[in-house]
Parts: sequence; C-alpha cells; structure tokens
Amino acid sequence: MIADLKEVRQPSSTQRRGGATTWIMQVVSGVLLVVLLGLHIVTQHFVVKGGLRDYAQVVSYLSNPVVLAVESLFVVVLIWHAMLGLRAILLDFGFGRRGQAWITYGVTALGAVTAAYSFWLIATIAANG
Amino acid sequence: MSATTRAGRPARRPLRGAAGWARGRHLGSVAFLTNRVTGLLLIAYLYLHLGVLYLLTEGSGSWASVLNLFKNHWLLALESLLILFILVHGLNGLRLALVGTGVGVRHQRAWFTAVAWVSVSLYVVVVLAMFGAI
Repeated sequence: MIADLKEVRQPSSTQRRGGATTWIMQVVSGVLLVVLLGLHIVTQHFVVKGGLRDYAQVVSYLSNPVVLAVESLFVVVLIWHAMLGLRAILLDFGFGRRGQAWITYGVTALGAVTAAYSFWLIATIAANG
Repeated sequence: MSATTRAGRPARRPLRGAAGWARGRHLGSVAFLTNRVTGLLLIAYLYLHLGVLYLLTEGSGSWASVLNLFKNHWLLALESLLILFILVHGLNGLRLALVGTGVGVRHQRAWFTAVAWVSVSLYVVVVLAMFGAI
C-alpha cells in the first residue's frame, strides 16, 4: 500500500520533463474529451437507426453551425490531448535535451498537420450540404 | 565505483521507455501502463478513422461501401473493442488525474476497482446496443 501511494505521488514523466503546466493541460483536455467524445459517439452512432449516418445524414448534420463548432472544438481538443500524450510517451525514452526539443517540434508539426487535414475534411464535407 | 544496494548487490540500472513502464507490480504502475498502452492504440485508431473519413469527400457511393463494410459482425466486434479502450483510458485517466492532484489517494485501490467495473458495465451496454439487443 505504501508502495502504491509512493508510486502515485511521484510526478509523472510529463511533470518531470515538461513541467506541471503540460500535465494540467493534459488533465483539462482529458476532462473536456470525456464530454466532447461522449457527445461525438452518441450523436454519430447511437441516435441513428442502424448505428452509422449515411452520406446525406452526415452532410446535413455537419451543415448545422452549432454542430460544426462543437466538432471543430472536439478536433482541436482531441489532437491536443493525443499529441501531449505522444510527447510524454516519447520523452519516457530518456532522450537528451536536443532530442527532447526535436520530439516537441515533431509532435507539434504532426499535430498541426493532423488538425489542418481534419479541418479540411470537415469543411469539404460541410460544403456539400 | 558502481552503485550497490544495501545487500551489496549491484543496483539495477533504471529501465528506459516502454520497459520502464512495466517495472513494478504496484497498482499505480499497472494503471500507468494501461493508460500508456490504450493511449497509443487510440492514437493509431485516430489516424485510421481520419483515413476512412476521407471517403466522405468522394461522395455517397464511397461512403455506402464503408457502411456495407460495417455490417460485418467481426468488424463490429473490433469496433466495440475501441469503445472498451476509450472507456478504460477515459475513466482511468480521470482516476489518475484525481489521485495525481491529491484527491482520494488513500482510496486509489477502490477507485481502480470502480473504474474497472464501470468500464466493463458500460462496455456491455454499448455492445448490446451495437448488436441491436437493446
């Protein structure tokens, strides 16, 4: 039990190497994701007969500006959380200062490309409505 | 001179990377490893999902082929595993966040059990819904 507590109270690798701010951002984005991902799964898969929206339903759904805003926020928070998590995992491999900087640049670039593609995807589908 | 333990044996070098995650069998280590592994699987799924969604830009015909594909029960079963990973990662993540900020540290074993039970219960409900049983 004491060992368990010791394990928990130790700062995570993110805290050690990236500062507590990164850890707090990971927690905040995680909490937001519980709501946004839950909403995404329910609206995309559980309120539609058959489990998946057909093409017309997807286009019509994304044509709603509120849905568009919520889905866009979801994309940003999801990519943010995923990239912070990926960075924390890569930093666990014990790279030097230069390696850590490269990881941060690489993960930032990957996140930016993923976000750009996701927004292009959302805009292209919504434009068909 | 190399470091030794109190018993005089040479101290083990700290493990790096994924090997370090699996070190120790304490509850905290198991929960940490679980979140790392499910997190990586979910990132892999994110890119697969974004790739599949590209078909939506090619019109209704391409998307209809995706819908047909998801009528396959084996694929649905695989998709249901994704829900399990999301539940475990999300609920265990919330638990780690609470414990990490000092909330309920002494009850973390109970939290972990609760997370496992809630994840499995919700997973069963989701699977029943996916296969049209409810």
